[in-house]
Amino acid sequence: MKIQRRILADVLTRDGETAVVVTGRVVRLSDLSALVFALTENPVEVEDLARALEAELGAPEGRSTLDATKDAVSDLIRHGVLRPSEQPAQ
Amino acid sequence: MDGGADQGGHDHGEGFVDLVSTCVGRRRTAPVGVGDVPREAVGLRHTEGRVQGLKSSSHTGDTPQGIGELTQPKDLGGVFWPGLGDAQPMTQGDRDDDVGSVEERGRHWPTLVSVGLSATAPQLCRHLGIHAASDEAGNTRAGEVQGARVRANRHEGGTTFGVGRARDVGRAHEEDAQRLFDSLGPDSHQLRLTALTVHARRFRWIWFGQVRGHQSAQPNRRGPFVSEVLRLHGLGAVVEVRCTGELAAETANAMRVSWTRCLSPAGGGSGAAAVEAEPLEVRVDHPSQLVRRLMLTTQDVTRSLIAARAGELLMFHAGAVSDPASGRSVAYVARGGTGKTTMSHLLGQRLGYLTDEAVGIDSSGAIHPYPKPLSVRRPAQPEIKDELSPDALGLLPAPENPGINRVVLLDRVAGTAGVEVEELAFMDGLFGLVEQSSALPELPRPLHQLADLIDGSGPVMRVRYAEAPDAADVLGQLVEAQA
Repeated sequence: MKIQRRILADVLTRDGETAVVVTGRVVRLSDLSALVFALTENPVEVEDLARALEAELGAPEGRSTLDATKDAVSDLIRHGVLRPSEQPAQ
Repeated sequence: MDGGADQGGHDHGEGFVDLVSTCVGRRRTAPVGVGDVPREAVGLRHTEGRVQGLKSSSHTGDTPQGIGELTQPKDLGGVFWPGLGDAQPMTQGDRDDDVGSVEERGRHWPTLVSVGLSATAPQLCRHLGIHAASDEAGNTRAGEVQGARVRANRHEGGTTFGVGRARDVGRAHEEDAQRLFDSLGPDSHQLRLTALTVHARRFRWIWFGQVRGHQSAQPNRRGPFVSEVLRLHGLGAVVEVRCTGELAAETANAMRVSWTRCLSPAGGGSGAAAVEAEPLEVRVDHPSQLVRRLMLTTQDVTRSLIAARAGELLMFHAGAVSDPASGRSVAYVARGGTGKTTMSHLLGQRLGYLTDEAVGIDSSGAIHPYPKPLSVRRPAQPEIKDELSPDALGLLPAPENPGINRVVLLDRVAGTAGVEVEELAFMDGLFGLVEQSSALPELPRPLHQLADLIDGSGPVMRVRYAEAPDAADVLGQLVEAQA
């Protein structure tokens, strides 16, 4: 599945942290979520995203990079930050 | 005979208004009796025991064109209703000296409204600008101003005062009704004045007035149509508040006292370009309702003003004070119950009071004051807050152009020794403000506007304390501290 970040009302990155405005709410992204957001400007396969995250952050402890990536992606889709790439951008 | 409470013991007050409302609303059935008055009736006529709808008052001679009829009508005591729509003006078929019996009047004056009054007809005539001469018996003759025609007939038990339908009774409106009421003074017994707007083709206003005699045990009733209007300024917006109900005047007077600093555009940060907020109505019918209603109205006013400025200002659940000379200000952001009002009361003794509830900051860093009443909780009744005037509490007024110098997050924690002050990391401070913001997502690029605020006024500070006086000194110093 390819995923991509949505076009959001506002995105602010400061001191390595990112805050976004999505569906009328202000959401503070974790380090991992902020990196996923940064890497999904264009549509990307989840597996490719996982490899990019591992290259940047290293492998997570106790679980596969792909599983951790899928959990993060699901979470961000639920919060409206990401979308499957076949859906509209907003 | 003429109608009214003074005659024959019939209390036509409520029924009168109901009937008038019914007629004006063109309902099919009038409540005075059993029957059916058609929608196209332009008025009602009561004569010789019969109540008929009037098709038109453009009749000639003595026979109106009646349509429909009420059977078993109540004794209306000679009360008539004005014609509407196609009815002819009263100047046609005029008989100026006809102030005789109701029946006689009814045949020629289907548009005359008569009610029972106390002896205030001359006052009413003068107030409406209607000039009428009185005869020796105290009866007034017809007067006419701007097409309004008046009959007043003094009789045992009171005076009948009637206002005829007119093409245009000037620009009379509810404020006129209120002035009319106020002008009558304490000797006017009990007045109920109902003003109705009739947007028929030819008419603007039709007045009905009734003054109950001293025999009446009814309290002074103003009716639902008499109200007082206040315009309250805050956050650069203005909200119209209409006070209604039995205690409309008392409500309005109480609000004028507590909201004194919001009554002028300058006090509320408004100018010629003040944004109009959604209007409000406050109805109080019993003294037991007043305090609670005033408390709830304060909350409603705040919501209305915030809604009016959504998308235009950064707004926080916060209090704020300002140096009277420089306008440099500190905003203390906090959730409810943290002590913003107490802090405002303390700081306002030496700094200009901007607000204790909602701070609005524009993109230039200017603060739009909202010097509302301080809402102070009653110790014995914590669910009730009294709305106290800033003037009564001795708070200094807001300076002319307050600007934000520092933003603080108040953190009240029981048991805190002294005051703990901490500069927050950027995102921690930003999200602390987000949690207590109003309508933030409606702003364009709200996060960047918040960032600009923080960059301009310095890192958000968290002030942790147990008792407000401990923190007040710290906050006062922040007013002038460099960012």
